[in-house]
Amino acid sequence: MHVPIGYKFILGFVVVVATVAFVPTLVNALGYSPEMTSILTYVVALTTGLILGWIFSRTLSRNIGVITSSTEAISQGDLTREISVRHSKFPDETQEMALAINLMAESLREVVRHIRDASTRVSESARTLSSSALEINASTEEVADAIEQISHGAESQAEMVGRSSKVIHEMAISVELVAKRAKESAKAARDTSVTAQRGVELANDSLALTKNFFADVEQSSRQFAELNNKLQQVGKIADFIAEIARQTNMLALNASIEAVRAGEFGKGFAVVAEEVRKLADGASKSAAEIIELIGQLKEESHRVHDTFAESSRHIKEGKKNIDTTADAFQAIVQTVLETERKANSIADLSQMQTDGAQKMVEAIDEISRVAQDNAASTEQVSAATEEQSAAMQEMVLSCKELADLADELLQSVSRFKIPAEETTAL
Amino acid sequence: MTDEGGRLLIFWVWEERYALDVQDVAEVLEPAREYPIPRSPRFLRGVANVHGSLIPVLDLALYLGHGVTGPGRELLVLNRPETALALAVEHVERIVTSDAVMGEEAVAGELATRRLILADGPAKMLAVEPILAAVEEAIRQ
Repeated sequence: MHVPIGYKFILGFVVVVATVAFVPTLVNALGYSPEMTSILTYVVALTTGLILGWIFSRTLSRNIGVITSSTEAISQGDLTREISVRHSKFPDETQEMALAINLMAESLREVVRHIRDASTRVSESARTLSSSALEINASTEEVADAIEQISHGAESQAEMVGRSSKVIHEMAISVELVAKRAKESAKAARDTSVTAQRGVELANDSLALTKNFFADVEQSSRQFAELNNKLQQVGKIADFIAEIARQTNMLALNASIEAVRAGEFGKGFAVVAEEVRKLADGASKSAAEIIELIGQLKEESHRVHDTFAESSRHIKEGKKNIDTTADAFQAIVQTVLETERKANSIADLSQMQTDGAQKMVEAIDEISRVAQDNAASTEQVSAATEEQSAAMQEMVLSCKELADLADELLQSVSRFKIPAEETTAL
Repeated sequence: MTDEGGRLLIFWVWEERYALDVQDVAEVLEPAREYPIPRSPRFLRGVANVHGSLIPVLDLALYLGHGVTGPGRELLVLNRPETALALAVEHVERIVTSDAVMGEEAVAGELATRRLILADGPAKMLAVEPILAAVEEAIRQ
């Protein structure tokens, strides 16, 4: 039963009063004198009051002592202890105070635990954050470097692109020149083609002339054969004349012999016979000359024939050469036509190339512009990364400060002792 | 026989010129077909048909100790009624008068004893008698 401490003192007072009131009666009953009775009454009342006061104050002071020591320990930072006051049948405010202090200690333990936990976490997080920030800083620096390189690259790219544009422009001019030359080549090829065509015609004319010549040669050969036949006939006639001359000669000889045999009468006849013989002799000689001449003619004609044959052979070879020449000219015409076609194709392609080069120049110019923009952008990015880097540095410092703060906090709560298992549970 | 106004027949045998008195020659003939005479000496080439009479043909070149008379030969029919004989010679050149003989010289030999000097070269004068005798002898044998 809860009895407030005031009530206890009031009860003690009431008991002392009651003692004072009733003890004289009891002492009277024992027969003591009134003085004795008064003395005894005071003694009993005082004793009762002392006893009750001791009883009450003992519990109270003990509990207060426990509470004081506990609060002192708490004030020293020891939160491990639990205040335990003796159980009383009549608990008073000290009991409640002990309970309240226990609750406070519990709350404090909770707070310290939370603070420790939080500060540790904050410290760790701050460290992590710091290292992350450092990493980020490093990365940012790398990014800055990279961006600087990119910036340089973009600048050189812009420059290169400028040069490329120039080169391509020059190339376009060259290509135009190539187109011009190709057109000239095509024209030259056409001229060559015409000339070669003329060559073919000339070769064909030569072939026709050669054919005519062959026909003439054949004609001459036939005429020659005829001439030879006639010569043969003349030879035969000459042979016949020679034979007649021989026989006439013989007849003349015989006539001479007859004339000799006739003696004086035959003399005139002998002269005639001699004349006949001479004539026959002359005829024979002439025939022999004719035969010789015919022989010479035959020889000559053979030589001429041989010469003709040789010439024919040469001309045949020449004809073959002309054929080859005509073929060669034909091949030249074909090749030249092909060349012309190719040259025209080159000219067309060159034109296309020129157009392409023009477009390429435009594209390169565009690329140049973009590269310049890129260079500018990378410079901006570079500046931004530098700012970011500075911010990161600041953040690192802040993190450090935060970690220090967390450490300080931890330090400050470290003087609070809390039960070990709970600490380890943290 | 080289009397004034006489005539000589000039002919060739084996690239040598010979002469005969025209009086000794009856006829100059084309070579006719010859028929061989059995068991006769080699210089008798055979017999030929001359105007219907069979006349022995003597190869003069063979007889003179040369080779056989080549082709293109002519026959000299001798003018001897007692002995008919034709001489195969290579070529009868011509008849010359004895005036054309500028001189003569003697040569050793049975058939030709003299060499006549003509304007166009020498010609051996052929003796007919020994030939005839030899032929007769041969035929007789």
